[in-house]
Amino acid sequence: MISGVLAVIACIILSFRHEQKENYHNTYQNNILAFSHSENELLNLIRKQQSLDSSSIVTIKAKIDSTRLALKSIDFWLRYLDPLAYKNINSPLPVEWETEVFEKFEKPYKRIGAGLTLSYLYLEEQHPNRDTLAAYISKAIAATDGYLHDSITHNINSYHHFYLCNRLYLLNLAAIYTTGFECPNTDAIVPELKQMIGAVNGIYASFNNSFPTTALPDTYTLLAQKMQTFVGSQPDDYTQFDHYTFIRNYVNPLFAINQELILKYGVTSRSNVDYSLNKNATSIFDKKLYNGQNAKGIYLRVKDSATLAEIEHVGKLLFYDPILSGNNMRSCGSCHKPTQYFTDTTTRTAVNFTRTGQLARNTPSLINAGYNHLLMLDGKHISMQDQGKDVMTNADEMAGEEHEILKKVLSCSEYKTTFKKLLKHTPQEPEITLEHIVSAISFYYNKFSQFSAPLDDAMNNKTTLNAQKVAGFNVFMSKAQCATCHFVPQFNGVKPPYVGSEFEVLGVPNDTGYKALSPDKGRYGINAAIETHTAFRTGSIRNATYTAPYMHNGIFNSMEQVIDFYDGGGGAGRGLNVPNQTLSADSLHLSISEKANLIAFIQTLNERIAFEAPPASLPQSKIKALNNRKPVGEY
Amino acid sequence: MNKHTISIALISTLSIMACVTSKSKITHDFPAAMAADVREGYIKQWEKGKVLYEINCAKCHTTTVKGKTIVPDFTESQLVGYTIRVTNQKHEAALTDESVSTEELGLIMTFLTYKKKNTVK
Repeated sequence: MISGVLAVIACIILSFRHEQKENYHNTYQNNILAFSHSENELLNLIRKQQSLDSSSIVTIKAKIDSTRLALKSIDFWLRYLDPLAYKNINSPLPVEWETEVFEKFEKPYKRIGAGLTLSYLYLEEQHPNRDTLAAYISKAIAATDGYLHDSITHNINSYHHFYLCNRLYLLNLAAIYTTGFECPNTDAIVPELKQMIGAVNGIYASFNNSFPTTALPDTYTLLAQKMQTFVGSQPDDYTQFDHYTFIRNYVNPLFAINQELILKYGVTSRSNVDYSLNKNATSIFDKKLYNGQNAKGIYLRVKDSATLAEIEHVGKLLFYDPILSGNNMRSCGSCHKPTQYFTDTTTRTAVNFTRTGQLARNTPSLINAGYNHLLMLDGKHISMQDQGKDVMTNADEMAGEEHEILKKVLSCSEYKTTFKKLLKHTPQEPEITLEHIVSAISFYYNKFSQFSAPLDDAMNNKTTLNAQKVAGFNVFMSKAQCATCHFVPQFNGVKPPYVGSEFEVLGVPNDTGYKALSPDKGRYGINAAIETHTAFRTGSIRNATYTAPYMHNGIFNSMEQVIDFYDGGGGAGRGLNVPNQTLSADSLHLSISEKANLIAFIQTLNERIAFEAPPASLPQSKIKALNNRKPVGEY
Repeated sequence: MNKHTISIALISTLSIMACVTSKSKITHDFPAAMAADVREGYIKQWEKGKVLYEINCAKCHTTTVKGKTIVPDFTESQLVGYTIRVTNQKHEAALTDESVSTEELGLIMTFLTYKKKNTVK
């Protein structure tokens, strides 16, 4: 009898628990179904049209807008749980060359986009075709249905995915959701944001109900509600939206709490795309937010500071040692000058090795190079060490030869002794190789990437920015469209979850009179395709005040010229033939004061870097002739 | 009785064999069809992978049975390259990109793929 009662009570408790879990699962399922329903309505509407005339386009666009709102309610889950399927639901481009994760090992592969953003953009083209449009939406529907399969829904039964979805959501609130990155109708950006934040707060409540032991604490949910109130009070015009306060007072503090909860609840990831993110970073504006490159190279596992100091010491000597070049006259520091932010501000492109001409491209600053997924302006290299070896052995640059470099370096007893001593840290590589040498060099220069800028301090609530700088940040994030390519927080082409580098076609001219397009084919040389012709990897805006001249060919000497270039719609906007330009050819209509504000904001990205002087002398070699070489070299 | 004698003989033969293998080092086993120069390149990678396995994986995966060091035979579906970082909770904590690089994970996969199997076919 008693046991029967207990069994009934147990059943009630169990079914109650079951119901609790059901709550979150149902929220997920119902929201996906609602979105799928809206997509199907959109598809039927498109199929009903005889042809796409101006009035039917208006009707279809309105339905795309309302379907997008349904998408925004579930973006929280969709984007994280299956990033590949997401590109069929909301891709901004018809063709994308995938540079995420896999490209480090395999050739870049082509992905055909589909979905809502693409459909909207397609309707802006001349004579859109009904069936093409229907195909974009059909693909999106198929992708959406995939989110109801067990392979994805099993994630919903535990709490782990929730905190990882939330982390990506918060990072994207800072990086893309307010900038129009994948929302071509700029009038819809803030209304969609309002919808999304309200819906996510609903997801939070449902999750807390179903997972009470790993719930979001009140500190989090109350701040999230305040964020909703703040955004609700903001104007719908995204150029009037206060991006600065939004990120500083709401998004970043919420990110900090979510990171603490990831550690507290022992959240673990089963997704490849999380590998770059650091669980210990408590701010989006912390340089440790993600690991871009392995600056230590072969010395990856060395952690103790005394050994690291030895590596840094030889790395510094080598960085300024022309012994690495074919004629013992040119060092890394010849072009990457420590007094000029590790670039060369005195010339458009550096003189070539034989002094008979100029190199094709502007010397990039080495500062923050490690926050890129791919290196070089054409993304040729996947690691800092490969990049370093390429420059040393490139006939136009340092013209060294691998065995010769190694022989010369090891002819100096200081180098030889140190690298020999360090061998015990690389048992997989028992002999000294060029890999050891470039690893020491990349470790050395990477230390100049660890500094923060006034914007970081302001976003970390340590200081404030003046009104002009805040206005500049808001222009950067909205009307000037800078942030759709230069993503918060590194302001480079790496967006959350920081596992790919983006390339853009801007139509950079060969001359400031815009008579011709720069002949440099850029990414095309590495991965030939219509879309990659004259595409270049997006660089960082950090320290840009001090890294003139600008663009891949150093064609612009001032920041004003660069801003005017973008304001005028790039090369295509000036009449150059750039059929694959990814930048709009329309003017941004920036006012004089908006441009001045932009420049004032960009100055808040100047990092307080502790530079060092080059060494006064270099290690002595057994080969007497080498001892005439000078630190930094003679270029 | 006869059966017993046979099994005792079998067991002792097997244990002698085990003793012999325990002394021999872990060796590689490349497909016979692999060209000699290709094999040479693979052997270099295999050796590096072996050291990297010792550093990053052996602590949890290598076992000692009767003084014999055994590197497990992993199946093809277990050797998933860099995805190995997130196949379980321990890996997520231990195989970060600050402790082992993706290129190194590739070398470890080469070692484990072409390691001679423990089980005699």
